[in-house]
Amino acid sequence: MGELSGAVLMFVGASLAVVSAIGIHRFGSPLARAHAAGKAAPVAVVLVAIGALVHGVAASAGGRIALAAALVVITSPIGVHVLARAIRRVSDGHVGPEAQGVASRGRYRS
Amino acid sequence: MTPILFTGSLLLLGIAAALALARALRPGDADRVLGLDTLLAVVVMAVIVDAARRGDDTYLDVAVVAALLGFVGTVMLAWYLGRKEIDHG
Repeated sequence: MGELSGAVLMFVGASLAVVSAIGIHRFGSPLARAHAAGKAAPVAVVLVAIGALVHGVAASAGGRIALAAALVVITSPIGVHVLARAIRRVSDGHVGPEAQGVASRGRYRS
Repeated sequence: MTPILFTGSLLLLGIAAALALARALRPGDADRVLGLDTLLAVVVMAVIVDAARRGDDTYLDVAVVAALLGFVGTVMLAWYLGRKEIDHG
């Protein structure tokens, strides 16, 4: 029972990762893509980690799984926030879809 | 049932990695950083799923190191991109 529920949790986490990746692939502006990347990734990693812990691993593995998940949860929002601030700074506040040509081509000199 | 779920999870993570890599290969500096950051998060998840699938915890250190290096790389590249005096063209 524990094995099955752990596998289901990992599957849900992987599905969330796919949804996030589709958003990164399809969204129209750089900040929208940062939004898709920053929200779903920590939740997906936590779901996968809890699934692995519920499924059952070696006794020494639980700490490292929890450490990796905690690192992603703490650092991923910070990294995406810093990146979004850099995008906003170099595009001079024009961050809607009209800024796509500026930021996507990489020509945001000011 | 459980092996099917494990295979499906790894398959979904492969799709996610391919989508993130496709974004990283398109032009746009910030989007490349974002795609590679997402790719590393997917790698962390794939290592954990594979460790649970095989019951082998040898590679779990890779997940910890990938999570750390992803953060450091993203912050450094964002710091570089945010400097206005650099011409990204």
